[in-house]
Amino acid sequence: MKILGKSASILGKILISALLILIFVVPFYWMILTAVKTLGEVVQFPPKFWTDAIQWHNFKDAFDAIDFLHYTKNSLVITAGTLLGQALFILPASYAFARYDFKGKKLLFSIVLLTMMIPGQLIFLPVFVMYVKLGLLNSYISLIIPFAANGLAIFMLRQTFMQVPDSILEAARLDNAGEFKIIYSIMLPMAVPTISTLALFTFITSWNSYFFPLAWTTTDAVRTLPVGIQQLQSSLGLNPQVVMAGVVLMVVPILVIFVIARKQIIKAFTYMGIK
Amino acid sequence: MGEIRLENVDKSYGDKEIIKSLSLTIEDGSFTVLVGPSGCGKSTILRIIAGLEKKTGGNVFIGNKNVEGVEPGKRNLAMVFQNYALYPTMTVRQNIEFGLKNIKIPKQERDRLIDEVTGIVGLTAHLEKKPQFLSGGERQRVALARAMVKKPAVFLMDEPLSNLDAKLRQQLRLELIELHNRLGATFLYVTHDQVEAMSMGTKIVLMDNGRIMQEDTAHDIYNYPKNVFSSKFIGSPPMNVLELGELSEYLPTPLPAGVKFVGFRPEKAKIAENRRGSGGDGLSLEATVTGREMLGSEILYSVELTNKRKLAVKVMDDTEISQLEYGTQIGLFISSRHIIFFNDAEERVTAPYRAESKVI
Amino acid sequence: MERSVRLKPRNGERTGWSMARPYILVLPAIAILAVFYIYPIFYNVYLSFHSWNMRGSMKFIGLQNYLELFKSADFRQIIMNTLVYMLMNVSLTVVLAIALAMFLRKSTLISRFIQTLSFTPNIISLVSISMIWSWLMTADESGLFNYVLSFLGLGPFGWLSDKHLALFSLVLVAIWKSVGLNALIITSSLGSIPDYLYEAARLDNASKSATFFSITLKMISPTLFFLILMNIISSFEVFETINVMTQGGPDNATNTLVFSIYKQGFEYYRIGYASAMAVILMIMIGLITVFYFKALEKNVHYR
Repeated sequence: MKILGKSASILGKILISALLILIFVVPFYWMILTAVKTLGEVVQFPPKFWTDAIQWHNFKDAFDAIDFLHYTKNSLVITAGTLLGQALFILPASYAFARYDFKGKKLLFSIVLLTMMIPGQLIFLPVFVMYVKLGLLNSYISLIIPFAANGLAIFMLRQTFMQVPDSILEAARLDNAGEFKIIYSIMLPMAVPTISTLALFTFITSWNSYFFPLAWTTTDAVRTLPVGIQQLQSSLGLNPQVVMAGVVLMVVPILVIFVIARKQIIKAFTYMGIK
Repeated sequence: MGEIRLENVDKSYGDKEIIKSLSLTIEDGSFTVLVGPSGCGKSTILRIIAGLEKKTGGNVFIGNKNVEGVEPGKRNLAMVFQNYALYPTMTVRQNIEFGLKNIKIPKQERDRLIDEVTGIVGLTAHLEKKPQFLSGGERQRVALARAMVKKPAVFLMDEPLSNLDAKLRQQLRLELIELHNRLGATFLYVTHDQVEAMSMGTKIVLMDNGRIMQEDTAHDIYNYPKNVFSSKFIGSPPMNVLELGELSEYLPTPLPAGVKFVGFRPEKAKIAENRRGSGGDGLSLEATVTGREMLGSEILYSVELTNKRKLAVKVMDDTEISQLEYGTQIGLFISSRHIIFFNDAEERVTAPYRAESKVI
Repeated sequence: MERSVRLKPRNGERTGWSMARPYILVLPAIAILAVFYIYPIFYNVYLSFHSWNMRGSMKFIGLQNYLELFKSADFRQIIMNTLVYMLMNVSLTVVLAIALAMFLRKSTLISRFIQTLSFTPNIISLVSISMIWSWLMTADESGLFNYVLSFLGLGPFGWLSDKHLALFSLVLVAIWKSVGLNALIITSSLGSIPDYLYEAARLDNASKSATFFSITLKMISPTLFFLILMNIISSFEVFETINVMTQGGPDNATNTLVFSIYKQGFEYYRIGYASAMAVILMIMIGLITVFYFKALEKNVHYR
């Protein structure tokens, strides 16, 4: 009986594992399969789980249907701009919050904490109105600046800087290192793990960003790849294979990055989740 | 070069006075240990000398030069921290080299100096490792090497051995003593561990509550404590100190004037099993054995006087004499030259007894 | 004595530069946060008292936007949808994530593989996921889901076209996207439960379920509470799936607050009206956050 129960539980585990794998693999498989089928195969019943001839031209069709390069360029500019902006704004702020005492520090830091609680979906409308009034609509700046500072990132980086023991900084002072030297050759290298976690997270979020590039623009001038790809659906809804080919084009690069930096990315997301 | 002089140094945080008008001279080339309970201000003194902490008043001289306003890095001193404070992102070599680079010492000279110090502390094989891959003892040696490479006149050490296990601590104590002899620089060493202080210091400065309680050699601070605090802080177990009222009947006469407390070291008491201590000039007590600790070469008894007062008594273990059992009634005798009297300000009133013929 | 000391201006010299330095470092970031996150909250309230179609001038109309909202049956439905979506999403995600984390608890090759696999949807844009799932959920038989379910004698379902099912379908997508990350976070919290607690429970003859409820769940309760808050907020934020998969339909069944704010503001140009909805969303999020922290103080077992 006991042995029977044990093998039943092993069988159960195998079945559940297989089911879980299917749940997470099938949508991707179906996406890729659809992207290389012919229209005939796509709409045929019963559906085919394989294709006889890979239709590479689906990708070209998707590529031609929207201004793919234009959207890609926008995504790259906005992602790079956001990363650069964060380096310029978040690093100094979190350093100062961690290592200096100054009047009003508590109040200013409470602003940081408060913004951690405010979802972007709450303020997209008033910010849009601000952009309209300032004439900033459809500019790169409008999609970069709001994300160049981020409460959570400032909070986490401040934590990191605070965790550097005072004695290390004192040792550096005894070693005749000036403040700039201390920041540059001790503090920053010690913060590299946190910085790279934040950068990875920002990179992926920014690359995938859809809501704000859609909400804060009225033309295609600065819209990002996800917005562009979504337009495939409305213009080519009757050609699912081309739509899926477009999705593949957008998803594959990030999947490749995931395969390369799997551990760091998972760590970054879990870390951002826990904090 | 390496003499340190503090004149009326004060330090307070807000209303809280940490150091109260403290004056102290640390001789050039000495191994001076600042010892005291935590919170007594010993580390603050060290940090004020290093320039890491700003004093509220007074003057600090290093090598006869007032260091007011002099950067920590320019005071011709090096410091070893309790947690070693190694730069975690740098290799051992880079850790040691960092200070040299900052004062623009040429590469060749740097390499020579690094070879020299890492040879002395035995780190040559670990030069390219990062601190996280080193053991506690090795990290300690990196911290030492980083201090030594600057060839300072003064080494400041803030409880540098307290994060190590007992065995390694013992070994490094000896190494530090040797290093001191070899370098001839001034060592100023802070610890809360009186054993460490006694074993290493050529001079011990005992502090409490921001004040110096006694400044002496290890021998003198043990045998001639200046006050009750000193008698109780130094020595393990501490000196037995009783109030005069508790035992006036047993005391020898005449007493020095103004006596309030009577003290003696646990190992100075002689045990007589027939209750009454042998006669003679000294203090006789009756007691009951309440506990026994075997320390190896010695046995530590805790005994209780008739008035329930507990005392510690230490005797050499001797296989020829059976150990005393719990409940045994004994007599204690302490020769008067081993008794120390304190007045009601808790200061010693008798001059130190020194046998004229003996050489320390 | 062993107190920490900040890197103060050298020797206490309070030069102009050393006084100004922290502000120079901090203020640019604070300015962004204030302009783009704090100020808009107030501006939003201001807008909600006005009528404006983005052309011409704003007109102050007092509480009229709010009155209109409260009279609108559509708005009641939107609130209901938002809350139902939130409740379904939060409870299912958290329960399934706990189950997944418990199932993958023992680190084996296969469990690590499933962990990585279930995490993958997190790094892919929600738009692509929505497009893939629209395709999987196609109502006729060419939709993969309906085809597979037909073997079990079920369906066909109008995943996105049946007004009783559509909201749940969106929840499914949200779960698929986030359950892996939630499980990962729970897994790392499970890993920090000391073994001796389980050993003690075994010595006390605790049953498996008693061990699970009184040790495992108790010990991960801070993490669970945190995940619940995160999932509540992300439920309120839902937009991509709706915009790509249902456009709020059928028959308003998947119209939620954020989507509706977007529609009213960006398609009908009713800025004031949309702002009033945003104010209500803000109040809801604010209340839940306050309630969350109150509950946190009381209930969570902290180590």
